[in-house]
Amino acid sequence: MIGNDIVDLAQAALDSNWRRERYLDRLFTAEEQALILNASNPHQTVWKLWSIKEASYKVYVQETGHRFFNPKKLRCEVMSPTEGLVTIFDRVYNTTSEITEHFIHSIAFAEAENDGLKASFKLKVKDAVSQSMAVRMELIRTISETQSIPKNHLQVQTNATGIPQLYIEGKPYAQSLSLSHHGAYGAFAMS
Amino acid sequence: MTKEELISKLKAIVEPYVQDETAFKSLSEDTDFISDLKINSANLVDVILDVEDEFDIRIENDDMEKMTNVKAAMGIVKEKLAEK
Repeated sequence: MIGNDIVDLAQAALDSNWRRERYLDRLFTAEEQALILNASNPHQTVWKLWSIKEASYKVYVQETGHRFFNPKKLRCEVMSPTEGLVTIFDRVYNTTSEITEHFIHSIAFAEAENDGLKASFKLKVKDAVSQSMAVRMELIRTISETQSIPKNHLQVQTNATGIPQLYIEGKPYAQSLSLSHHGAYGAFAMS
Repeated sequence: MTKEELISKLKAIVEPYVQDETAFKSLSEDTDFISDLKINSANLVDVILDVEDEFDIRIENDDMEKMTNVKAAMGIVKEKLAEK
């Protein structure tokens, strides 16, 4: 199973003031807060840790169906600037992050390795509903091109827990899928 | 505080973070902050902190865990106000 999350760093600076009193303590464990406060780029570190938590949470929800909001229970360990481990209760996920000047795109997976399809891209549309649609269209376009399947045979639907599922000619496709958008960027990952 | 007053206070708190205006207009007890209003989960923390400030209460992480919809948020606020 796979999860992904993209953070537009400029949008994050507009949306959230992580220096707000009591804010960091709601999201991050003491160890994570120490990483942030000692980092040369605290803003980037906040959103990198956040994106790996989000990506891991998406895998956890696919595996368990359990939704909750308590980011401190998602414990990050940083293995390298782009690799991490996230523990959620008794489950551990591997993460990798692509970090650019403009965005951070993190992928989390339960298996030891992941060589699935992933992409991040700039979105032309601005509102959340259109962006969600644009990410699905981009996924369909990519799969259609890489696997030579006509676009109109491909569909993405979300189930009651909010988990996206790809359908090929109406049949659910076995692979795990994760979609994300934030600010000017969209992304997806498939295992 | 009546149920209507509480809902209208919560509505004012979540408004700056809402990304689905249609869902916001029809906000009810059954509205989910993330799946309906499309509030970014990093902003859900701001909602929690704004609720704490507005009602002068403190919400523990174990209570926050359930605060993903209007009904749960109302329940926790009422509980905390009663404890005051």
